[in-house]
Amino acid sequence: MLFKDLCRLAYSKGLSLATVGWYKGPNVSWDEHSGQGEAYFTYVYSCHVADLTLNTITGEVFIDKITAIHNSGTVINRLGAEGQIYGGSTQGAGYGLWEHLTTIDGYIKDLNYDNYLIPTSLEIGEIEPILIEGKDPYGAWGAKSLGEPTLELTAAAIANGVKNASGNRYFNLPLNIEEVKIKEKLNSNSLNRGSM
Amino acid sequence: MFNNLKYVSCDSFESVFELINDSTKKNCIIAGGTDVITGIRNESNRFKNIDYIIDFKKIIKVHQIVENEKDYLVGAFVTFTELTDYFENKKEFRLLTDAINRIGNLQVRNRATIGGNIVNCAPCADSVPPLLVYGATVILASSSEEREIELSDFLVSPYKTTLKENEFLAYIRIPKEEKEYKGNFVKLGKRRGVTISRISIAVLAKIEENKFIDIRIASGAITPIAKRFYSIEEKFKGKETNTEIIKQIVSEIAKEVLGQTGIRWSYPYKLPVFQQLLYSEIKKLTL
Repeated sequence: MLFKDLCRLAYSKGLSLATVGWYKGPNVSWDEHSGQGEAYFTYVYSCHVADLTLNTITGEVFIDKITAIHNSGTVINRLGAEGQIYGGSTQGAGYGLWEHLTTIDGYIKDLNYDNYLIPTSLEIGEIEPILIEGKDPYGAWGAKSLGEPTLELTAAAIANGVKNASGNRYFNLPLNIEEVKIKEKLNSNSLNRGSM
Repeated sequence: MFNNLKYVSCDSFESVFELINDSTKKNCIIAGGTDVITGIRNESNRFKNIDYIIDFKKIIKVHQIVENEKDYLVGAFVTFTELTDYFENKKEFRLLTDAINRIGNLQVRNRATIGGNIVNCAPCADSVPPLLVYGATVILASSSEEREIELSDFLVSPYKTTLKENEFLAYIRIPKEEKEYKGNFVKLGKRRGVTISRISIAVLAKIEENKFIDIRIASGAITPIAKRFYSIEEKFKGKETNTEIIKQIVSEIAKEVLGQTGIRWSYPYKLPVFQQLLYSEIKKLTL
């Protein structure tokens, strides 16, 4: 039977093809006092590998490749899942290398994207998503989560890569070019835009 | 902010002169508008109280590139995309096309013009250092005369040129490249795409038998305006192309930069990086 015939039949019998259901996640517990308990009913695991080139003259870091491995339960829409990883890894790279919010006397200095830099499509080489599937007993069709986890790891992977290349360990983000080169953050005290 | 502005589209130089010769009105000539429109919107002082915005869209001769026997006459209103398409086809002025290809993004380059980049006179204007090493001149038109001056004399200080109220930049003349010259352009920004130059360097040299027959060096963003180092270049003409000499060139240039600007907040980073980049760019030419 064709889908349109099925629809017609259902319509003629007054049947709805939509359904509504409820799903309640398992109970979680959290003891504020002791900081103990089951905070979540399932966990996602992932690993990022950043392959980068550090220009020792300028302190520029170029990300040649990010390999992003995620255990996200059943993958329902592969293209969507991979897209999530491309976007998340890129945002994570921005967190690691560019996105710096400066304030002067409590006022945010970077009021637009000309000062507050996010990665463009030229900043990152290849991103390889690897999805390790597994049927999660609690999620819909065995799926877990793949939004936030994709952007949490990249910055740390980059910082480790920079440590590997330069020998210097940095404890705050983003790793801008000045900091990578001379090991200190430089800030102008003016609210003006400009490059001097 | 845009309320009191009048937009005029002129179809000849004469109609432009009529407007800009009226000293009671403040005029602003618009080319691509990538600086003017954002400047007006940000209420920048330079663009306050403008009466007329004058558009050259209909004046075809300033939108063309003309090849002469010894040079190219580039209309000031030629967009970056048109310019790079033209010269990449001709395989000329690689430093200039390299520099322009790193300005903003494609959308910006489709609008922004070479003349606008020069007249705006930002310290970080990317097209300027290559034009300086190619020895470009600018042709300024007014109702009484057309004067041609060196680009380096045209730029005065940040956002200030020797352009008079009753003049506009009509053409840029770039002498044809001599084939024995080799050159490099390097731009350092905080990221690769859509970025403002923190340092830009253009070097062009003619080297024969391990000697600098000619060397031309210009920098952008590190000094208040893009600068060509004429006197230092002169000193090193005829010198050998060894490491020691290159180091001397670099240290003299760094001294001149420092002498001109004094210590700035960004120099603990910029100065050593500038020197190392300059060294490696000159070194590459000698290899």
